Amino acid sequence: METNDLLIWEKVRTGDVDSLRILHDRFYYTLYSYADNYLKDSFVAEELVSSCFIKLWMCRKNIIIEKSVKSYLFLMLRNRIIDEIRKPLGKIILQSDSLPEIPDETIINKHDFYAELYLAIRKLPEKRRDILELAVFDGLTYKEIANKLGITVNTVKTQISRAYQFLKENLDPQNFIFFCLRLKNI
Amino acid sequence: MGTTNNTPWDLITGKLYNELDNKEKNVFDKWYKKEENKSILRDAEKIHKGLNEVKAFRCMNKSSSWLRIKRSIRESVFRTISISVLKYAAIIAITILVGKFISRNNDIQYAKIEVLDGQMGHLFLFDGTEVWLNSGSKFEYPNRFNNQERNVSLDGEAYFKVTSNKKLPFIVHTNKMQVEVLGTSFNVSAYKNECHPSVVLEEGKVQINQVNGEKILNLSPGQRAVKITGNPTKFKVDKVKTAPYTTWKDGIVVFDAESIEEIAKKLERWYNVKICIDNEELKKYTISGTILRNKPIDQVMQAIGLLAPVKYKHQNNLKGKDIIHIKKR
Repeated sequence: METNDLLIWEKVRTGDVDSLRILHDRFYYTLYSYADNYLKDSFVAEELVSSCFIKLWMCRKNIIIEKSVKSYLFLMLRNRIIDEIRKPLGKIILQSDSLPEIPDETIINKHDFYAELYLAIRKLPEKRRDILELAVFDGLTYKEIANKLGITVNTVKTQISRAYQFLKENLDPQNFIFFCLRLKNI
Repeated sequence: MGTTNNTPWDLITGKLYNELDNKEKNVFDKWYKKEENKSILRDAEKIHKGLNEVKAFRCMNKSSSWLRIKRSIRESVFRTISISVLKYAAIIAITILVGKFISRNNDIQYAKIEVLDGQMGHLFLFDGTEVWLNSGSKFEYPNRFNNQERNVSLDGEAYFKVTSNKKLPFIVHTNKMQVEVLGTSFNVSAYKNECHPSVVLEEGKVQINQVNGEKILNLSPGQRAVKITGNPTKFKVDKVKTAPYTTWKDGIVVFDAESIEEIAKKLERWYNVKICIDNEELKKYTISGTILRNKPIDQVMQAIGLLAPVKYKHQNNLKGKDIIHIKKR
């Protein structure tokens, strides 16, 4: 996978915008997940991610990437987050006042997992996704969801159950291993 | 791990959302007693935790992000096409070396980067340290650091933004000195074929050592140390505005009362040309000014012509470097 990224990067270096897009679409969600972890403002998080790709393009002739395009993008993003935090009005850290962690393999894998999870949710049938979102994002109880949508509690129960089953079956099992290691370190 | 055909997802999710009645709780507890089912619950918990983390993702929009990027780079595509000749297309050569270099540690692999004349480089070391390399620089760095020091070697000019790590000093080895730091931003100019290597500190603290590691002096932010020829331990330290020494990494070069001869040496490196000055007096003529490195050499020569009594001729050379002849006007 990484050698494939390097080949695409070489194309970007020769001025191929379509290849830049491939890298963008491939890494966008994972990068966003990392940025969102440290910034209260999601819009700023997204802007910082976009700006990394703009910079990658503008400086493509000078940038030296030996092994991993992904690592380079992550380190660039980390620096931008730090610059943003250091701005005088920058009271936008979500976590404590420690700097964003250096994105090592474990951290990148964690955000890959979140990105994959998000994409998997989008594949759920609409009704099922709505119910899941009400439960997770809005914190409603089964009864509250049932009332809100005019369905039975039993339906809510089944839909959520099927949603989790779908997610488990459709996520890369590798992600669970890495994620497990991460949780152990806390 | 158990197959999901028999997995009681309704019980599992009920447990996660705290929606089980007593009867269901008993059934769940019985199911959970089996060893193989414990890992299934763990996976479900991971998904559950993950779902909470992705709440904010609803605000993101991949296609609007790409639109923003496309808009910003549209102009630059046109600019790239109009810039001069492929002859200057420099390749950054990367070779991987295995083996010892400075430290006693055996298993670390080193990468060697050579930034050719006319080029510039930027990279990240794996600890997040940022390095900008100027034209004609050679740089070696390990793909991991050992647990006592972070060692790199430089023949040329580089600007470093070193990730702070109090336990691991970062040491830049050059042929005439070492620069040792804990976490900081500074510029090192140490081309092997030049006599006066120098260090400029922007932020933080650095220590300059002899090649054998013995300390010579400490630098504070806003100071520039220049090595005095002939003496391995003597440096001249001045208070300076750091910008003129560091803005090259952003493509801006400031000359402060520098001789045409000195300037020519730098231009040769940055533009990969040969410059011939036939007048001795002209060589010593000093000028001050700012140039942008992304401008073609002819524009730079014209700008110099405004500050000094020079005229120039650009001789194209298909087989090798172009030659710029500078004469007194």
